[in-house]
Amino acid sequence: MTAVPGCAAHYGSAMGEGDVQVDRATGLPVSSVDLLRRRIINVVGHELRTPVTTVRGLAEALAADDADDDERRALLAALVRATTRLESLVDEVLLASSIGTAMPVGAVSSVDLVAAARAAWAEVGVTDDLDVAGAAIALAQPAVVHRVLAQVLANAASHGAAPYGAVATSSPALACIAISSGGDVLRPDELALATEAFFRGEAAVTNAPGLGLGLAVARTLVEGSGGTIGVEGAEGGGMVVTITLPVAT
Amino acid sequence: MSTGTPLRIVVVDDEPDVRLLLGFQLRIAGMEVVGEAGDGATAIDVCAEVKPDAVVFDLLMPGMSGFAAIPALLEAQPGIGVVAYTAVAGDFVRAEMGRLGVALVLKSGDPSPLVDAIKGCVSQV
Repeated sequence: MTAVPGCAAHYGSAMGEGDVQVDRATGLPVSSVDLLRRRIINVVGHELRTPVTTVRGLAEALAADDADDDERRALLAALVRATTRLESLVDEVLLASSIGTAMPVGAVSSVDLVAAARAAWAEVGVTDDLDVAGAAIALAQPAVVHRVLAQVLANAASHGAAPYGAVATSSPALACIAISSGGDVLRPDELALATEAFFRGEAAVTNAPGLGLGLAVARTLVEGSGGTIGVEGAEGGGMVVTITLPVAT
Repeated sequence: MSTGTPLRIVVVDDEPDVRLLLGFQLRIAGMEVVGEAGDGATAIDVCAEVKPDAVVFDLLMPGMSGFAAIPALLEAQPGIGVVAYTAVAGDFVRAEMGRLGVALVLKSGDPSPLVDAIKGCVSQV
């Protein structure tokens, strides 16, 4: 992936500790709150505008009654997809904002993390293999674990590259799974902010649409399940996302 | 181009439903969508094959983005009309498209600005 110079600054970029960004118009330092606000406005503005304008365009196309039967069916199906996407975006924004009511409520049970990773990878729809090793059984809501792994694996597929891997381990207290992917070498500030809501790495800004919520949603769900999530750079490029959850005894 | 011949358009957007909608809107506006692509590299190949009058180009796409593909397309086909069709256009996007001499239209449910921009860029060629 190749980032476009200057584009990250337009859409909202990373800011590491010790960095000071200056507003181009006023010459004054920009606070971290201002940066977060700009990041949210840019990312939400971009990602919401497309489905919103698609909904309006589809609705007006249907209302104009210019479509034949086949076109009408295709336009209606697209309208359903666009509204479903909007609903999903709202859900993700609430979850990534750590709003308690957005955390799913359900019964916990034993969850095979290796099997869950394989199932989630199949849904991501990437043709590359996911190399899976080890074993771990977590005590958590199965639907939540599935959603966490789906978010992390989808993030790896969107922003990383092969080889993709998942290694599960367990201790007396914790079940752990580490999801790895190849790709560009990520800067320390990008890794530090990777699970923050609305953060997008510099390469992702120009190459991969998205809200920057995948890992933030995963973090909310993992922490709501009594676990932790961490992101590290992988040797040679890419990243490793390590998830721990209470172990099933 | 002779009067009465529909403008031949290629639509480039990574979202299939946006391409579906644009295809319908441009057909209703009297244009002919002769090809589509979901990323910049495919767009260059499609344009080389179908030689459209104009291309409607999304900018943020996985793989080869519009920022990378538009200059390559303009170099390969100097006479082609290009309209950048994007959800957000701040200083950087406006400057970059201005530098390339490419019309810029914000995504909207109303197709009129896009249709006008396509006609405008083709008439300049």
